[in-house]
Amino acid sequence: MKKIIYKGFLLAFLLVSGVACHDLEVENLNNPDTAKVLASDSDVKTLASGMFLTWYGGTHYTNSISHLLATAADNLTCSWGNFGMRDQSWEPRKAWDNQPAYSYAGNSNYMYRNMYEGASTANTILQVMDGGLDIGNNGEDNNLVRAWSKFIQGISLGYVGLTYDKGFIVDENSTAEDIAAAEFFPYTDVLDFALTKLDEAIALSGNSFVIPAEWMNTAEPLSNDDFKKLINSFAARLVVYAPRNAAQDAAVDWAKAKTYADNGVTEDFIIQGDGYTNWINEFWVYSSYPGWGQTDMRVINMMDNDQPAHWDDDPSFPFPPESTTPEDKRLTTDFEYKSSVPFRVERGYYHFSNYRFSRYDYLLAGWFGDMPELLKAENDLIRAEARAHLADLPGAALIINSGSRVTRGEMTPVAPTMTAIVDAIHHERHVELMSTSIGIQFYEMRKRDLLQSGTFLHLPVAPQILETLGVARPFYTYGGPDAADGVNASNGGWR
Amino acid sequence: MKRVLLTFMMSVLVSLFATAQDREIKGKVTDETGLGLPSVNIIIKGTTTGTATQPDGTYSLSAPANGVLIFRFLGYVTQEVQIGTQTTIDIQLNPDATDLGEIVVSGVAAGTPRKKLTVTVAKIDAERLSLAPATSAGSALAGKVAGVRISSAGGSPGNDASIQLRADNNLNAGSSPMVVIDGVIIEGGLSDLNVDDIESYEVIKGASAASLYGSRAGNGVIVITSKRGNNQNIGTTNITVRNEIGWQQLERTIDLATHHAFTLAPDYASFDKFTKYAGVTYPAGYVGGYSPDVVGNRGFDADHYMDNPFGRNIDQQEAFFKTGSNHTNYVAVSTRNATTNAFISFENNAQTGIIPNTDGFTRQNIRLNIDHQINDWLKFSASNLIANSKQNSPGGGGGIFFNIVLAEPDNDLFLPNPDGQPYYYRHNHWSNETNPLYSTFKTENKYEEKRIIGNYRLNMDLASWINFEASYSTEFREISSGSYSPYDTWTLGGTDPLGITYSLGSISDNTSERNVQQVQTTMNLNGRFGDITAKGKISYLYENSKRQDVNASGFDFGIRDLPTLSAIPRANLSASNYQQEVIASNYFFIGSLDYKDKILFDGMFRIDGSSLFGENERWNNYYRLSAGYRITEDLDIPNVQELKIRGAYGVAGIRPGFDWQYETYSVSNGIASASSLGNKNLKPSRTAESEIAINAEFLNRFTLEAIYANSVTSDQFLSVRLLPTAGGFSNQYQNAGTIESNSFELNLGVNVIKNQDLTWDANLVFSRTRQTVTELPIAPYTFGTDGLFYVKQGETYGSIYGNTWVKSLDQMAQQLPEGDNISDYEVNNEGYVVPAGSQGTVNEAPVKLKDQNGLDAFVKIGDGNPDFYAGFSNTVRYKGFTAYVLLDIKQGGDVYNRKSQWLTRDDRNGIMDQFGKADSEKKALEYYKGFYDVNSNNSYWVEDASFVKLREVALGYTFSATQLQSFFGFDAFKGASLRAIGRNLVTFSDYSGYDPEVGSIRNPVDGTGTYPNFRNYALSLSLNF
Repeated sequence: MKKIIYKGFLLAFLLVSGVACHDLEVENLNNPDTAKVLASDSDVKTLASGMFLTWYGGTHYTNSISHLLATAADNLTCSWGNFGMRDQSWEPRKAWDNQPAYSYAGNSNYMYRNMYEGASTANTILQVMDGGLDIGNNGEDNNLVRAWSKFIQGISLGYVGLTYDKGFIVDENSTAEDIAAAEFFPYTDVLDFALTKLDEAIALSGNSFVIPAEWMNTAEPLSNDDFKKLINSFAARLVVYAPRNAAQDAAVDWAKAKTYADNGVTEDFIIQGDGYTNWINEFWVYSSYPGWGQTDMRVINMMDNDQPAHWDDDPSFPFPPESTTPEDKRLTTDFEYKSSVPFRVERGYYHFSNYRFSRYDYLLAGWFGDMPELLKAENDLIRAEARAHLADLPGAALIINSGSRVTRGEMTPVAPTMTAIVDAIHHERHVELMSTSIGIQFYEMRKRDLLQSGTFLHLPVAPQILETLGVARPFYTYGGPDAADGVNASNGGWR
Repeated sequence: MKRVLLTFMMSVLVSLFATAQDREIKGKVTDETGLGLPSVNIIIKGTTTGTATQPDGTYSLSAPANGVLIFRFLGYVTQEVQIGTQTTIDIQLNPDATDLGEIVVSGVAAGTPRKKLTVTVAKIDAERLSLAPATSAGSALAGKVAGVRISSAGGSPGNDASIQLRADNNLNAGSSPMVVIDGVIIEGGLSDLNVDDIESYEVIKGASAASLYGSRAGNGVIVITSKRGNNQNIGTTNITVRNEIGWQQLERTIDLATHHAFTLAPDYASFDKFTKYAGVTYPAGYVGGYSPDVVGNRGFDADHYMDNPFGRNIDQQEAFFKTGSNHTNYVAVSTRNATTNAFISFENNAQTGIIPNTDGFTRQNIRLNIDHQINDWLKFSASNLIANSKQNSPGGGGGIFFNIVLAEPDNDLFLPNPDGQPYYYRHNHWSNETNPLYSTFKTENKYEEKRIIGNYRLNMDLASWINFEASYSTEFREISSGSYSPYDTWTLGGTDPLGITYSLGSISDNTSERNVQQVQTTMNLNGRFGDITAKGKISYLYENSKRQDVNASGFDFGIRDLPTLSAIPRANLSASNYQQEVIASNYFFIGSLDYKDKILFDGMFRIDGSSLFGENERWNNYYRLSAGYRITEDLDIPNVQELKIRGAYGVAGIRPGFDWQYETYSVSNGIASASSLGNKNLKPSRTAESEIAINAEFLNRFTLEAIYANSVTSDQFLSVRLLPTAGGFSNQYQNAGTIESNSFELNLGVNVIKNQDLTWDANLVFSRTRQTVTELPIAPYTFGTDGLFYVKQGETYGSIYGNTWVKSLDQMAQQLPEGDNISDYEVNNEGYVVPAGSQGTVNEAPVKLKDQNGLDAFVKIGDGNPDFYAGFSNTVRYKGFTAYVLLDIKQGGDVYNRKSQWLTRDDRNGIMDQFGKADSEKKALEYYKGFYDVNSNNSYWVEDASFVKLREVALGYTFSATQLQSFFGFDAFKGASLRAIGRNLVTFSDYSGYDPEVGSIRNPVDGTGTYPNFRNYALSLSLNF
């Protein structure tokens, strides 16, 4: 009996000791939560530091739509299906497939989501600051973080407005009810709202601060003055690239555009490649990497009239020889002649090209180095364009003739006529600004009514978003020869 | 470490042979017929001293006069005899009427004879496993157990097969069963567990039976028990040595095109190193591969028929894949005395696989299992496995399996690179696909794992009705993986006219340390109340699992040929880590009641708490009720020896992923961005299963088990998409959605012939499962590889969705383009609608089916679920000869053949080859490209993946000790066995890929990067000492 009691005691002890020795609370040490990322002013600043990368990934990664916009614009040619490149370069054009099952529906969703995810983070940060959190000693970084957050709000919503037909309008003042209502606003309203955010950012950038280099992976930190210039240039983009057709282009507030651009960048805004970790312009990579994208013949022809503007869909079409004396010398410096084409014949000879873009090939050796995002030339072109529309043709010509057209292209200076200036700007946007940032050539072609007939002029809201909202299928879409209305799909075209 | 281990093992062995001395007792033990019973265990009560009877039943041992001898023999009633003045004790043991066949210990209150089970637990024992020992524990069950689905997603040696028991009940969580080895709930795979050590598998297929295991058991449980020394005669030592050598070989190659549609140069026949195309100029001395001096493009013949010859026709698959080898060296020593038994084994296993320049998989396992009776009420047991495995997978990863089939027949994979390295990287001038041989030659991929699985157990007999057990279990894994590409590894790019450049090298080095610990205390109870036998178990289980990963990588070596991260400039280095801890605390009770061996009842209740559950749902309950009635105990049915009906209802669960409950921001390079909104209410999914079954034995030679099970898994883990304006969080895991499944399983065994010289046993297993998404409160969504599978309320889970093609003019009439007439279309000779008059021309193109909105119809194009699975095994023994065959059968179940679709992109698909066809049958390549459709998911590439597979074959002869003695002239051997073994020898299937067994069970997709499964044939010699 005594033995049993003893053993029973031992049993009870073991059972109880098993119960008492632990609890079930485990911390996730890999990912912070909101409380942690907003725990202190330095945490908030760190959270802020990642917002531009969200925008950059949303516009430059292969998950996004930069490639399909470039093929739709006949700036890039590639018959590979990846990233929707082939689907937006069919001749004749096809409608955008806006159903969730479409292979590249996710690309549209990725960009749409990333824009709002970046903006939402900015909203969160501004809410915390409005709640009384000072950033830095005695709030010394308040203006930095506020200006930066407004900038992110502006460019995020702005690129939704540039690329999609409608979007949500949210900022730090949006209530939970506003967000839950999920009301769509037309792209014009979204762009207007974005510009107000950029205006606020510009105003805040009148205060002294420094944007750390790692926030945009620039070679050097940006002073508030340089940052203000950058914001102005982005604002100029939103104003000038917004028109969906030539009529809307004529109605642009060119004075506003001129103001922004005149206060824009005076040096190239360059992001540094980090070895293909985060900071990589995949738009450029797959527009230029051997075996992938090549330069559309239309652009080659713009640089050398002896080259065909279109590779006819004919097996007997002669392989164009290498240019020797192109009008634009950049064809020999920024492009590489290819004696054979990597694309498949049966996908259409019209995809063929005899040149690839090689200007930034230095990046191929390790993916480090300069990745231009917003060249001074881009801002100058907007300055010139605004002046031309404001009847300052000599001023416009002067800017263009002081720029890459002459300095790098060694082309004849442009005459101070509206047509010549517009053509010269068109040329430079296709050649000089190639593979820098998303959509430049698409926006340019769009507002000149040059996109091939049936090309969408903007994208519908991504199907995954519509799905989340419970919108009934089939989801609306744009593009295709039957929908060429000049408002949502091109009814013009360069050919 | 080695020295400590050796000392420990020696001390154990020495202790085994140490026995006490007293006075001499002799006698004989007989059975109920008076025949001597060999190997009866005789122990002096209260001591650890004893002996075993000889083959004739006699024995002798020393014992004190006041002692009591205990006689134990499996299947007989244990007897105790007071020695007193006796010096000779002869006794007769009587059969134990309660011995009802093999004992099942998993999922039940206590060890239970199969005939008295109320739930489904299948058992496969060592004898069955040893017929053709599988190369790893993961694949050993294939075709052997009804309702167990095993799929080898790829043949890469050392890869784990995917295992599913009954249905796939989970939308986001995996469907692999919980695995318990010698009492340790493991988290690692089974590829480094050797089959020679396994005593038995017990497979608890459904949630009703598995509910005892709670919130990890929704997918069922596999319990593996390794061999011990407890089943052999006291005082004996057995030594087994088995050596196997085998060969590995691709069973079949993919049908590839050997002709093309490009226009040949008039003098093409004069060139046999490459194909000379019209319109292309070649440099002097050109012998193939990319050259910047090759100018122009090849163009198609007017007919676009792929019927033109290449300059030469190399079978690239034949040239690439090699015949691999495998070998196994195994030695096991087991010994037993009255108080202690031990089983020690060592296995060395190597499998090269079929890829050149790749070492494959090696494994060394050491096992040490010990049981020691410390005194009459306390027993200590230990089970240990030390496994060391290395996997060298092909350089270039899965890409090589695509590149080898993309290589055109005139490509020379063995051309040198410009710097003299072998295997020219750009072997095809017309493509950027690279040379797979070069990748295997240049890049090293390694995966090494050191693993210790240990279970240490104290068992205390407190009284006749109560027994207490405490155990500590651990699984420790140290994983090291990485890759290395030297500085001078060629890659595409750069400014060299050849379009290739040195990559400058890269290296990655990853380590992961995972430590699982479990502590369990159990009170085992039993009692008899009149005609009722009661057994019970109250248990507490504490689980702790920790993982810590460190990953580092770098590229562009600053110093060549130094495979270390230190040789990488700091700017090119990156590192990350990952850590997690999971804690669980579980309590359960199970009890069984047995009325006169014929009415059986089980019930259990369990409470699980886990750190994986949201903080508002920390504890969840599981339970089971099951009952059985052995009809033949009451009714005498002619020719029916046993008939039992049984039923069970139980609830088990699946735990959420580690971070699903947490609000998370993803972090990279010190930057955080919103990721997933947390959910404090997240709880485990819940699988409730009902099961009814019949077990029968009839005609003295048949055994039958037929089972129907219905399971409903609710509270699935849905990743619910959020609007991006909601704080930037992309999703939240929520419990919602239901899958219902129905399974029917049949196991029919027959003892066809049973006499002294000849036995023939056959066994058929059959299962059929249906699974449906019955509730989905979010928008339907696609998942799996390339989003091929569609989850929609009311739809079969596993359905493949995509576009399809118009196959009748009636369909076409419903979607005629404006201005077209139905007469503008016709059905071609393959059954597809194409433009009228286009057959054989470049305009012959299939037409996609449209929906009512004029969009490409998104419809069901396949179903990955088979109609049924079956396994049919036959074992014939004639004297010393053994012949064993296992057929593994899968009827139905589609595979999406993405590889075939991709091959069409590059004109490499054999279906495109028009050579030898009558002109009227030929088709332009554009026809096939229409189906390729830039890899859109469409019905053309869905293939029936039915198969009959000769899974295991063995032919062998077992030599008796007598035969060996007469042959060798001495009696060192107790037996020997020589076998020829075949694994996956032949597959009968219409599937066009390497093997219809491809992709995981949930994702039956034949991707481009799959290492093909291969056949294996081997010779095995086993010697017993």
